Amino acid sequence: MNLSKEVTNQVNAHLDEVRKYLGKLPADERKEILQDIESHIYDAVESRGNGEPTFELVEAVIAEMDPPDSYGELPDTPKSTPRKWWILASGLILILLTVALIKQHPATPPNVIGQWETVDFVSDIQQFHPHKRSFPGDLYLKELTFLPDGKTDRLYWTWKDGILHHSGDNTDARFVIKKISGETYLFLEWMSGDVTLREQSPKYYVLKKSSKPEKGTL
Amino acid sequence: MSTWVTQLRKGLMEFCILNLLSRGESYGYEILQSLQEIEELVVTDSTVYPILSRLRKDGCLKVQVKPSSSGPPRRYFSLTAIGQQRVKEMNLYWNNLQAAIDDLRNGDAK
Repeated sequence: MNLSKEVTNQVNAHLDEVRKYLGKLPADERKEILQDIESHIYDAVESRGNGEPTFELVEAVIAEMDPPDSYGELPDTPKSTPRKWWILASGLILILLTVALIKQHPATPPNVIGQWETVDFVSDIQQFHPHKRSFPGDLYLKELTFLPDGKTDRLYWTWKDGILHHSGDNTDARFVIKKISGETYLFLEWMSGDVTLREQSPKYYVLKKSSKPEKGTL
Repeated sequence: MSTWVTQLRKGLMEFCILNLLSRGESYGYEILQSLQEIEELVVTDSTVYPILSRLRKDGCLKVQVKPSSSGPPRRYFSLTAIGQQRVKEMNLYWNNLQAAIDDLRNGDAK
């Protein structure tokens, strides 16, 4: 099978992302897992038939695989003295406590109010690239408007701080706003059945602040 | 309930992989596809590939690299003598455990 440079780069980019999360494993195990993932991608592409792998097909296969962070912890920090280790451990505990507090009481993301238009659907936030759409198919959620009173333009969705609550499914999806390449994007956890029933990590809808006039409640 | 199911699935994964490979050699994607037929296991790539690597390291599996038409060479896994012994012991343990739990559930336990 002849592989285009674009496809090879795409596969390598995914492997690089996974590699980041295999840091705790010995080098030989890391290498083996990455080889299996690489073969998996090409085998999955081949099983779908239709000749040479295209960028879109490989992207779709990768999107169906587990996100890179499912493969484990963040890479080990470099070796350090016990004193340094103690300082690092104390710092880490402080960070974890802060993160836990933020998770409990997420702050209201700035500039959330307004209309947002969906631009992509990604396995994790780092996967998003403003100039290269990741999801090849038609997206279910096209747009979403956050109103100032905690409501949205959907009757079943209300929001508070960084949480979007679905009254029908009784789910709480977190959302964050990030500035990327000068544009403002909202990343919304998508609480699909894979998340609520199969305990998989959520994927993210990526929405961009719309320049259209705002709508009222539907 | 969900925590119990998650823990049970994790524990069963190695058992299922070894039993699958006791039927003959197979490669990663094929192993994943076969295990995914057991819907209740909810098997994904990030659960299977690290276990295959660990089982190889433990000496239960051996790997043979063969060319593939799809892309990079495939790594075919098969049981070693240690692996065959491990799966035999696991199956025996499983049968005994299952029988004892069935007795318990049916009210036949001593």
